[in-house]
Amino acid sequence: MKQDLSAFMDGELDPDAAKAVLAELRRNSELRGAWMDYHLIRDLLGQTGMASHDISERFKERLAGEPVVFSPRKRILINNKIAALSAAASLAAVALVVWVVLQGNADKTNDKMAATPQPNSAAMLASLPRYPFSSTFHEYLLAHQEFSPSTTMQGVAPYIRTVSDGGEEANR
Amino acid sequence: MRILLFGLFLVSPASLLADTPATSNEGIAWLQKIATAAHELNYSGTFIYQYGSHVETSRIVHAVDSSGEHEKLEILNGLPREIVRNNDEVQCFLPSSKTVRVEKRLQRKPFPALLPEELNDLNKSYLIKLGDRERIAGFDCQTLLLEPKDGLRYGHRLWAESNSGLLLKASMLDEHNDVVEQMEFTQLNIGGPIDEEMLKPKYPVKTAGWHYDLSPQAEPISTESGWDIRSPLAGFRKILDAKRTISGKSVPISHIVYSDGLAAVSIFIEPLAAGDKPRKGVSKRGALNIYARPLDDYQVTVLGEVPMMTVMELGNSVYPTGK
Repeated sequence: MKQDLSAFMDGELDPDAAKAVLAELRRNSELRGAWMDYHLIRDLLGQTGMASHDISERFKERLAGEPVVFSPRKRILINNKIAALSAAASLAAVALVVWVVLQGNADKTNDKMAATPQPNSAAMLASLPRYPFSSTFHEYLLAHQEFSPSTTMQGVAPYIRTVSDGGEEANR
Repeated sequence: MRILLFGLFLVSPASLLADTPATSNEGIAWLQKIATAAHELNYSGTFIYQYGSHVETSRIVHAVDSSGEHEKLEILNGLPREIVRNNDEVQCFLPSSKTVRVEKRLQRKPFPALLPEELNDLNKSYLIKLGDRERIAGFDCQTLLLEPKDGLRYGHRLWAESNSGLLLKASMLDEHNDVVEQMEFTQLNIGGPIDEEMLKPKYPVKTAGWHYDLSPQAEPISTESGWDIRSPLAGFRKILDAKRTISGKSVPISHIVYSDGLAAVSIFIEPLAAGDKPRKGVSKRGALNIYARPLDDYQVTVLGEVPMMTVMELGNSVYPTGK
C-alpha cells in the first residue's frame, strides 16, 4: 500500500487505484503518518520549496483562505511562472486529499469511503425526524456526564449541558 | 522519485520531526495542570455557556476541604436550576418540576488526574499545540489547541490561567473551525476561603411535593452490558461496559461508554415496555448530539459531545452479544 501511496503522490495511479488509496488513508492511521512523512521528505528534497513539519495544519489554513483548485489551466498564466503554478496546483490537489482525510465522516460526499459500510448514516440523517432536545434525554445526559473528560478538566461546569435550555425540563 | 522516497523513509524522518513531540508534551503537561487545578483549588465565579444564539449565565463555586470536593452550579437566567456535587454524588435540582435527580459516580478513577491511557488516547486523535497568551476574565491565560485528526470528533480550544492552570474558557470547534459550544468565565476569584452557605442547595427537597429520584446503587448491576458494536471507531476506547441503575429510570439500563480522551460517547440500551413508543431520530444542542433508534424490543440512544455522524455510526453498529 505504501508503494501505491507513493505512486499516488506522483500522480501515477489510475482513478480506481487512487480511490483505494484514499479509502485506505481514511482507515489506516499508520498510512496517514506515512503520507505526512513522504511529504515532509519531498519538501526537504526541495520539490515544493516548503519545509513543513505539520502539513495538515498548513493545508487547512490554506484551504480556509481559498477554494480548492483542481487544475491550473483556467488560471491566467503569467510569463514563465508555469513551474510555480504547477506546484500550487499539486499543492491544491494534495490539500484536497488531506481535506478528505481530515473530514472523515463529517462530509456526506465522503461517506462512500467509510471503512465500515454500515447503513449510510449521512443519507439516513436527512430522512430522520429531529427531536426537540427535551427532558426525554435528561436522565441519560446526567448518567453520561461523569464519563465526559470535560468533567475531569472543568469539574461541575459541564453539567450545565444536562440542565440547559430552560423550558424543556418542566415536561418530564 | 518513488524509490528515493522509500530509501529515505527507511532512514526514518523521526529525527526531523523531533520538535513535534516536545510541543505535544508541553500541551499534555498543561492538560494535567488543568485537570489538577479544577479539583484542588477553591474558586468561585460567573461563567457563560453558549451555543448557537443561546446564552446561559451560571454561578459556580468550588471548595476543597478535609472531607473532599464540594461544588455548586446555579443557572442564573431562565428557569432556576442547580447542581450540587459532593465528592462522588451529584444532585440535580429542577424546581419547576420539583424534581431532584441524584447520580453516584460509577467510575473509580481518581478525579484530578488524566490517566496515562487517556493521554495516550489524546495523542492518537488530536494534534496538541500551544497557542498565544490571552486574557480571560482579567487573568492571563495560556491557550491550547487540540486539533482533531479526523472527522469523528470536534476540535477544542482551551484557555488555562497561567499560574494555577484553571480552565477559564473552553470552545469546541467543528470541521469548519466554527464554534459549536463555548464556556467562559466572565468573573472569577481563585483561592481563598469559601463560605459553606454558598455550596448548599437552595431548595427544601424533603418537603412534600418534591420528587426525589435516587439512583439507588453506586455499583453497576453487571460489568457486562450484553451489547457491543460491530465496528470500532478509530481513536475511541471503551471505558465502561455495564448494566446499571439510572436516576429516573425504573429498569436497569445497559450503558457503554467510548472515549478518545477529550470527548465521550454513551450508548444506552433500554428495554421497551408495552405501550412505549420507540423513538427513531436525532437531536442536537451545542456540542451534544443524540441519535435514537429502536432495535428489536429495545430502545438504543447514543449521545455525546461528538459530531452527529459519530453517534449515528455507533448507534447503527450496536448488536446484542447474547450474554
